[in-house]
Amino acid sequence: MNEFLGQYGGLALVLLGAAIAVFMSGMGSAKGVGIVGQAAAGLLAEDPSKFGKVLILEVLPGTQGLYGFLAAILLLNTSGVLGGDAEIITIGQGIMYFASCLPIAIVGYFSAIMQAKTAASGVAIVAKKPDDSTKAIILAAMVETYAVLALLVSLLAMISVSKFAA
Amino acid sequence: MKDIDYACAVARIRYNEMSMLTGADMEQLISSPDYDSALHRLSDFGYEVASSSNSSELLKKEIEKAWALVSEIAPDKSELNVLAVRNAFHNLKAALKGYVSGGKCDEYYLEPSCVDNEIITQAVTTGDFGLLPEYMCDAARESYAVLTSTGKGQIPDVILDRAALDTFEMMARETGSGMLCEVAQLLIAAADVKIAYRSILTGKDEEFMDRAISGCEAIDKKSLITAASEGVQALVDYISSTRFSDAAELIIQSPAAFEKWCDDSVVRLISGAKYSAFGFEPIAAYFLAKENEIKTVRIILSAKQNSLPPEIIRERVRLLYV
Repeated sequence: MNEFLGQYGGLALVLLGAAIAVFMSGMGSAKGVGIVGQAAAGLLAEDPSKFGKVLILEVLPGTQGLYGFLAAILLLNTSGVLGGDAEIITIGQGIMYFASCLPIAIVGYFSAIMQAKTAASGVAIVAKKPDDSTKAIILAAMVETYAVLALLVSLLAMISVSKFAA
Repeated sequence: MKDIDYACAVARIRYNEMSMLTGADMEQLISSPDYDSALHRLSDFGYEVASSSNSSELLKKEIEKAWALVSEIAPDKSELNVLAVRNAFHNLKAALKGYVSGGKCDEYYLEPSCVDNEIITQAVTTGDFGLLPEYMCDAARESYAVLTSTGKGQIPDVILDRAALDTFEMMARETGSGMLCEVAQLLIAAADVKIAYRSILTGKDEEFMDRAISGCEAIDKKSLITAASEGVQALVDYISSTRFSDAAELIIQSPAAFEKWCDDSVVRLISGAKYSAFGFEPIAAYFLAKENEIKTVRIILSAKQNSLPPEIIRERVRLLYV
């Protein structure tokens, strides 16, 4: 058992980290896009000409899912899984890689939902004052900041861990 | 249901709020030289004014449109009962009186109602009040018994009015909406104050008031009855000591001013829902606001029919939601 863990434990943790980064942020984005989509569909049922404006709002909570995907790809690359030399990953390195995924996984999930709520509220601005729809987009985009920061921390941590491992 | 499940419905409400009448629109109606011009203006504002229709038909159509919208978009239709339950009690009252007097009652029925009017008519004509929803049964039986034994309508009115407001409050609590609970509290308080004041004017005893007054968190039933028993000044003093102090003088000044205060207070209570993106409250607020708008239009149109001057009309115009 110990031999198995020693050989594959690090790799398993890397894969688990990649899975969590994609799963959490993707789930948040799916929920978020769904929430804004409902609000957008409500408005479009009354006024289909607003499609272009609400589409931008609907897309915004989808970015966290992309960040999670990006973090997972970078993790798999820096850890060597994509290059085929993953068996050298120790459990210690695996834990560090796994921890580096947590910022984008957790912040990605919650920020996507919060951003969706802000964007769905912004749909009311598009409905009532279409000329001010940019303000609704800016308000929703502000939430994005924290997802971007979380992504940066995750990427920097992965790069640091890969250097540490080397 | 989760508040987020209302996202689509609230977006549609926000769009439809744009077609609600504003203060400027009302001012244009008031400034119209006569009734026909006011109708023409209403047509410009999106009301379906048919050449042959009278104002009550026109306004009935507007409320039907608003109800059709909220019925279509509400994710949980049962929550809408709270908005229609007072009309159900009104219709029960009309059916009872129609039955006892032998006249037709259909024309007095109000829509929307959460209880089918045919069921109400059938329950009253057959005396089988079990056909009605549970929350109406007891009040219906009691009113029927009093009405058929005495032939007088006042006590049954009191029983049904009180039951209507109590049921409204119960349903408001069931929706979990703090806004609707506050509206219910306000309506109960206003009804209680009106009953107390009218009881003083008509010399009703404490027993009558005890039967008619519901009492609520803001207005203590016992204190209100005691104050009313002591006279108008004691009543005003008591109301001044509650959170409805700004209405204390209005009740003795003019019933119309008091009614306006009630309607304006409801609009103030629901105006917070304009900023909610989720939940049932924006839907409920839209419908209540639409009712308020239609009431205001009715006031203006009937004032125009009676050629009242604009200054008098402005005094009666309600606070608007948008």
